[in-house]
Amino acid sequence: MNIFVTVGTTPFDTLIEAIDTFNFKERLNITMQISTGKYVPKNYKFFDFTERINEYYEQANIVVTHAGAGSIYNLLEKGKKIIIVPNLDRIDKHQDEISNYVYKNNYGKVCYSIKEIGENIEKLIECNIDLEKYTKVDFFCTKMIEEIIDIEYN
Amino acid sequence: MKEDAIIFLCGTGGHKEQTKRLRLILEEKLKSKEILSIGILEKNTNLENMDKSYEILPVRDKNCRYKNLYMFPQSVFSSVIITLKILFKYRVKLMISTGPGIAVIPAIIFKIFKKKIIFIETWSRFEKASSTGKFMYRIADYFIIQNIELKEIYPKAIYGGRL
Repeated sequence: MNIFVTVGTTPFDTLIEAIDTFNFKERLNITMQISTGKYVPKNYKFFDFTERINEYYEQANIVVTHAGAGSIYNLLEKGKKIIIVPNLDRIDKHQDEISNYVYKNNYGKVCYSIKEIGENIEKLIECNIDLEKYTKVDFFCTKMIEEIIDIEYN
Repeated sequence: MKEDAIIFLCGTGGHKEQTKRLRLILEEKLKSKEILSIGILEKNTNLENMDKSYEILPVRDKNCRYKNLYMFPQSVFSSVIITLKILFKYRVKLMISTGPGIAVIPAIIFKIFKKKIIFIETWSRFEKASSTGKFMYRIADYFIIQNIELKEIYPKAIYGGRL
């Protein structure tokens, strides 16, 4: 069972520490992308950033992700099982909007309390939880923008 | 003879990913008209698919309030200088951005010089307007939303689907 944890571009020490120190029932293969976080994991592999994040996504059975929309959309488009943890270490709290969107539509699991992340991970592994498939409404304003470019740069 | 250029204004994280996708979508059109893609980027954004990039200092720190006291004026100053520099060097008619706050000062300058602005509200907003979005809604020539839920907050916006 491969678990990949990603915090995006901003650090999220409380999440990394919570997973690193949790007493899992079985030994899990966990890899963590920790950005510029100061907490150093003791029990699992980690790194700050990577150009090859898609490879980590491909290999993971479950991805635990901060509530960055970019990461989330990428993962949902790939059909990955995800647990979202909104980053409340940040001053701006807008990460809860996309978390609510995913929660309401059941595209993935959302963990609002970091203390419970370990249990959330185990629950998702044990139960075959049914999640809704995410279908993207592709951007359809391209033609409009191309026409604007034609008008402005004639 | 100045080269034609379109400005992409972009910050780190999700904004970079959105700008990358947007640039890819417009690749063919820009190539066929020989329009350069110039990035005005927040420091350390490293957006790859631009013909040329200029960095400006971020408007705020996401984790520490106190740093904002000096970050804000520094950011404004670097924005003004770089935007004017680009306007003198290239034939710019259009600016596109998904935010964040670094888009504001260049947008104001572009407006003064009668350039057109396309603003696409970020894909992470569903319930509340972003502060940049609220401002850009008033001054952008084209304001596009990616999530239909935002139609209530921005009634005159164009719904465009997700990048």
